[in-house]
Amino acid sequence: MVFLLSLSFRPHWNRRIFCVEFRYHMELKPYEIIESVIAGARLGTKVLDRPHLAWLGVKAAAPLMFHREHRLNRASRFGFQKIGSSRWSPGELAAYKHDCIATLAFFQRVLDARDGREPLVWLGWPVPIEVASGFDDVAAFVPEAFMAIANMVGTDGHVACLEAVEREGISDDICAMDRISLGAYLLEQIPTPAAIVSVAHPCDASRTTSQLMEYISGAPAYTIDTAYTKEDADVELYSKNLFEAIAFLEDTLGRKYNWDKFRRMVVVLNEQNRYLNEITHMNQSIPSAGLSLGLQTAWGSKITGAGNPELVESARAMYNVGRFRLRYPQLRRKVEKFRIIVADMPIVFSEMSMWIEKTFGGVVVGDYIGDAIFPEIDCTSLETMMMGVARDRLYMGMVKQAHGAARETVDDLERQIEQFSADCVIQNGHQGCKHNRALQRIVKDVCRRHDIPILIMEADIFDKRVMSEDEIKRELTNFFVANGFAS
Amino acid sequence: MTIFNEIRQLAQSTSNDYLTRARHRGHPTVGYFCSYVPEEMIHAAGAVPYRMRAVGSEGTSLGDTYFSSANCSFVRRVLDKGLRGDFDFLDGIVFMNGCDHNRRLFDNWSYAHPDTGFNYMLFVPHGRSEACLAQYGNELAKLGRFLEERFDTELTAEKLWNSVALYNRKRALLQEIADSRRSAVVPISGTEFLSLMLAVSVVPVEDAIALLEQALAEIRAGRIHTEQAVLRLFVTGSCLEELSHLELLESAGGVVVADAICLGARYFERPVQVGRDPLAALGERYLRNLSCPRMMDDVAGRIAHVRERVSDFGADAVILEKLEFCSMMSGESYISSHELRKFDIPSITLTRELYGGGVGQLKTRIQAFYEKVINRS
Repeated sequence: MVFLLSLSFRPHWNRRIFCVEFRYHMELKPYEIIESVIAGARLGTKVLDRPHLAWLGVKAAAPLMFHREHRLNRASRFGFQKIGSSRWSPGELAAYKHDCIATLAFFQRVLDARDGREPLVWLGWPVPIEVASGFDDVAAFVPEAFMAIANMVGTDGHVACLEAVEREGISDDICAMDRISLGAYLLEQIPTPAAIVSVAHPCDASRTTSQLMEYISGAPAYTIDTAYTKEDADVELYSKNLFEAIAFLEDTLGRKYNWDKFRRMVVVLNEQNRYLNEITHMNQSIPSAGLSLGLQTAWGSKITGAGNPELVESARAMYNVGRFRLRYPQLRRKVEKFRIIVADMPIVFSEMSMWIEKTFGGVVVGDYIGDAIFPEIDCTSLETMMMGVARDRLYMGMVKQAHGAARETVDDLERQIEQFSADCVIQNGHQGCKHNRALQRIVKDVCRRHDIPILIMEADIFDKRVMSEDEIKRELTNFFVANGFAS
Repeated sequence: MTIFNEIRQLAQSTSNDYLTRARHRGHPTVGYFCSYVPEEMIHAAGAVPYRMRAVGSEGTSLGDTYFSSANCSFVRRVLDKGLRGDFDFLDGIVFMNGCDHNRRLFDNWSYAHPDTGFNYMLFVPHGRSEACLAQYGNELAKLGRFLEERFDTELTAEKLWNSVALYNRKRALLQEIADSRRSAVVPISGTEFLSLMLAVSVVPVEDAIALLEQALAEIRAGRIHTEQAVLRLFVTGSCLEELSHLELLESAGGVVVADAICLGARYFERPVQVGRDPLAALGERYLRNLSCPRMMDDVAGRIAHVRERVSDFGADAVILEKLEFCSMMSGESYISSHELRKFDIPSITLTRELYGGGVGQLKTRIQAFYEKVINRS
């Protein structure tokens, strides 16, 4: 990584002085982000093998890392936040080790594909990864993964990707998550694909970015059209499209799909889902199991690694942490003063839930992303399995609420408020989610009906330049104080 | 009053006498959004299809209580008008999932519930494959059943074919008027053509045909808009209904000779093919007509259409129109401008708010662009 230090002079006339502003420009070497992720995952796999020792290490680093970003922690604070900002227990760290193993395998294969060992297929993030990973000799990649990994090179990683897109002249009306993946490709962080499978949900940004990705890469593409609801007829259409997508990949890549591997992956997915559903239930108890950040992590891991047995191990370990906490509720009672539902955490550049927990005693019990209510997949035939996979992805966080009519969002929020006994709701007001922003009145009225306060900010959860971590913290503090959650 | 004056008046009004007279004859009015809603089905059910627009909008203050500042000005203005009672003459609205803003317009409209009758959502696939066509066919059948129940009628094949014939006639007339702009002497400006489109999409189709025939007769009689050597423009993009915006483009020294907008070529190009099952024929025409950026598998087709029309109509430059916050057009304008550059076709992306300000700034950009185009030749 190369940091170029530039100086810009900005006059402050009222003070009659010239202020010197230091600004970093990040220049990325090709594939630097993925290589950093691989290095981080490798380190994580080793370090987290001894979770108690790792826990001590993270605790020791906390004073330097926890509260704000500065020169000394800029390169590593993102990683620190991804492992719980020193708030995770050794059990949670042990669970995360399995995510590291899955991450390592996933990204290593992408680099292998770059070196020509096998073809690479890009999948839009809501596309079931099984469509490509069911091939024995095809590497699957999800470009949107960059929203979660770009900062592994330092907390300006995602800004570097966004700026690359801006230089190209692409409008910032498109969601920053999609722009980060486009930017990563423009900055040679992702190998060129042999084929692309995209999907027509959940939003305009993903629809237009799929077209941009196809155009820029020049790769042949198949688009899965998904219907508007989660009704059986619509799920069946989705399932038929998945079969067609696999046939398209077989034709394009000249390789055969391994249906036995697909069956095995679906069995693993079922097992992972059972744990995730249970953990979500555990978060509903009072006090909650406090595992929402772990569930968010599982959401990301599932997008890139569904069907990987390591993710079952991760979920099982997290489940055991939850069981322990439910057995000894007094431990969490000390932590939990009020309960929060968060629609959209600024997952790219900061991890707010742990800061809220430590500073105010507010526990994020549910959110739009990690919340798991996955239906069991019927494994009696390939058709039922594919229907199950299609339905599973319609219940993934973000897709679950963002596709279709407003009732998908509203019903989900009402269910969460009731089931999680929420005291307040926070929406960052992500700029890219036009559909979500369009529901602000309806969502406010839902909260009014349940007699709980809601904060809707004007942030962008994938771009720290829109509203910085400090500004978000300030808004959160004002909201908690104004509503009597803090003094 | 000349026919073009009457057309201009119709274009600038929310309601009109034609609708009132149709209502007195027992034909209710049904609003609809986007070019993927088959008007023929509404007409065959005995109603008058009315293309929703923000014409005459005075602001967004009521719309803003539902939508956010990150939503497009079209939906905010239309909802605002709905909440002010401007559309109270409607007996229902057929919405469509054209984009995120539009699908949420259905949600907010249903929630706010202005006095505009029923709200129906037509789900249109985002592709043109056989599977998508089959899905769209199912959705049209659902819409048909809804309209039958709502208006206590039966959408027989005969009624549908009759409606198809009328709308095909309307399309053919519009096509002929549009094609008249191929000649060096342009008989009708882009602003006048947009007026025509706005007018004929809010009156009964029978009246629309009569208006178009009169307009065409005037053109055939040698009507001339401009003989001056000005820049010939092709306009494409998302929602565009402001006459003032096209006037701005044309007053700066251009004339719009062709387009690929919803209130333009996307509406009238390609007739419905008669002879098959009417719903299948409608599905085929509406889903596979000239597409908009929401359709994910036709970007090459859209670019090819622009190139073809630019060549046919001798256009000097392409204007890519985009409303603020329109993600779909953001991607499309990037791809279009890059592709057009390959063929040495100059283009500019104009981002604006619907009926928004910033006219001076836009004018400067337009003039600078025109100068660039003129100086290159």
